[in-house]
This record gives sequence, C-alpha cells and structure tokens, in this order.
Amino acid sequence: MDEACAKVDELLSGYLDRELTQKDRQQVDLHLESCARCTARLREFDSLSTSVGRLRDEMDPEDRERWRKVMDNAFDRTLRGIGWLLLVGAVLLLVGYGGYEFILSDVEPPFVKWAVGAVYLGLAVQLLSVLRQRLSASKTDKYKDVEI
Amino acid sequence: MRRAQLMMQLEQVGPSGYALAVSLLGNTDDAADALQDAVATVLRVRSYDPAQGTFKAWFLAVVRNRCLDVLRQRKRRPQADMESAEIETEPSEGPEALATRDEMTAIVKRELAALRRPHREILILREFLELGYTEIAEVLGIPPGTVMSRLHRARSALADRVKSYG
Ligand SMILES: [Zn+2]
Repeated sequence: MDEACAKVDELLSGYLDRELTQKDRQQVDLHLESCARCTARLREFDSLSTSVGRLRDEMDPEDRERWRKVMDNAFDRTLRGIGWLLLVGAVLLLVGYGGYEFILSDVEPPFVKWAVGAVYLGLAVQLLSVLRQRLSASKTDKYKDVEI
Repeated sequence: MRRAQLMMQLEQVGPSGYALAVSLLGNTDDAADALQDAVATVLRVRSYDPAQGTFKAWFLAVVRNRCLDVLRQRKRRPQADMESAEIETEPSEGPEALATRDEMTAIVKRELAALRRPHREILILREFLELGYTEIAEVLGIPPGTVMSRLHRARSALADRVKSYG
C-alpha cells in the first residue's frame, strides 16, 4: 500500500459513515477517482455494512417479543418498590400517631406506658439496623451513581 | 426526569439495548437478564444528564457496563462452557442453514460473533444500531477522535475474516 492509499484508508470508514469534514471528504473523493484499490476497499466495507445491517432486520421479530417481557418485568419491579415504600410510610405514620396518642392519654397506669414504650423502642432499633444494612448494600452497588 | 417520561424513553431505546447485550454476551438469556438489570438501575437512579449526550447513548452505556460485569464474572468462574459463550454464534448453525439462507449474511454473522469484543461492539453500535460517531464515543467512553480509527480497524478485521471464505 503506498503512502497516499495508507492515508486515505484510515478515512474510508468515516467516508462511508458520512462523518468526515468536507476537506477530508474531498481528499478521499479525489483519491478514489484514480485508485482502483481504495475504491474496491470502500465497496468491500460498504457491502459488509449492508450485511451487518441485514442481521438486524433478520433478528427483529423474535426479539421484539422478548424485549417486551424484559421491559415489563423491570417496570413491575419498580412499581412494586413504590408500593412497598407507600405501605411502609403509611404504617410508620399510623404507628407514630398511635404512640403519640398513647403517651398523652391518662387512662393507662405508668408501667404499661413503659412496657409499650420498650416495645416501640425495640421495633425502632430493628428497623434502623435493617435500614443501615440496606444503605451499606446500596453503597457497594456501583450503578448507584453511574456516570458517563 | 419524570418517571413516566423516562419509561417512554426506555421503551424506545430498549430494543437497541437488547441487541447490544445479545452481541456482547452471546446468548439471549443472559442478555435479557442484563437488560432487565440495566432498566431497573435506570429507573432507580435516574441520573441522566442531557448535557452529557443523548439518552440513547447514556442508556446503552449503562447496558454495556452491566454486560461487562457479567463477562468479568464469567472469567472468574473457570468453566469451559462459559469461556466459549462469548464467541458463540446462535445455538447451532449447521451446513444446511448456511446453504438455505443468504450465504454472505450467515458468514458475516458468524465472523462478527468471533471478533474481539472491542471490534464487535463498535460494529454493532455503528451498523446495527446506526449510532453516529459522537454517540458511539459516549457509549464507549472514548474520545470522539478515536472512534473512526477503531471502527476502521474493526471493519478491516471483519473484512479479513470474511475474505478467508474466498
Ligand atoms: Zn488508494
């Protein structure tokens, strides 16, 4: 391959993909007019490109079906996550409100209040430890802040 | 980005992500898993920033990262069947399949699957998913200036392989 061909060869891909600057494009055009070798190479790339494109058309129908399922699964998973969040939020709210009312009420003797208070405290500690576990798990998940 | 809008965008780029995953992982089951993870991740984090490029490129990069993780895990498990999975074509491509279908397409399919991963993936991004050079650079996380030369090497490699069939 002589020097002129080597220089153009690098540009043939960009030429085929219409990604060259106008100047480079003209340079390639000029060279192709007088070089059978590079013209053949361009044609070779072009036909490969067509063949690979044809693979896509061939693949489509079965994969569209498959893709649907994948998508629905992922969406379901997210919706389920939102559902859980709502549920947990509502339960916490109710429990908090119940506790608040209980402490303020004058009906129960003090030791009952202490006992119920201990139950609440126990539940809170459990919840916190689960949250902490989740948090450290999500920190090791590198997709959390995937950036391009 | 709002969730509903995000889901709509995902619907559009999903098939491309799937095609990329299939070509990287070599089989549709792993690809479906990887894609599902990627979609779930995207729905969870929603960190897409339009200033950094198109949504499609960003999504494909997430899919690609997930696939590369799967490939790394395969390497760690030294199982013979897993080793070959990466370069496997479709389940079985017997001689009669070659004869009945467009022969050139069959050869290209086989040789594309046998290319080294960096060459294979850039060809998929360009020829299969029809991304421009800027988007390809975004997906692969490489400078835009290197896309053309890598693509060129990939095409040359594929051309050499296909030519060996005479
Ligand atoms: Zn030439």
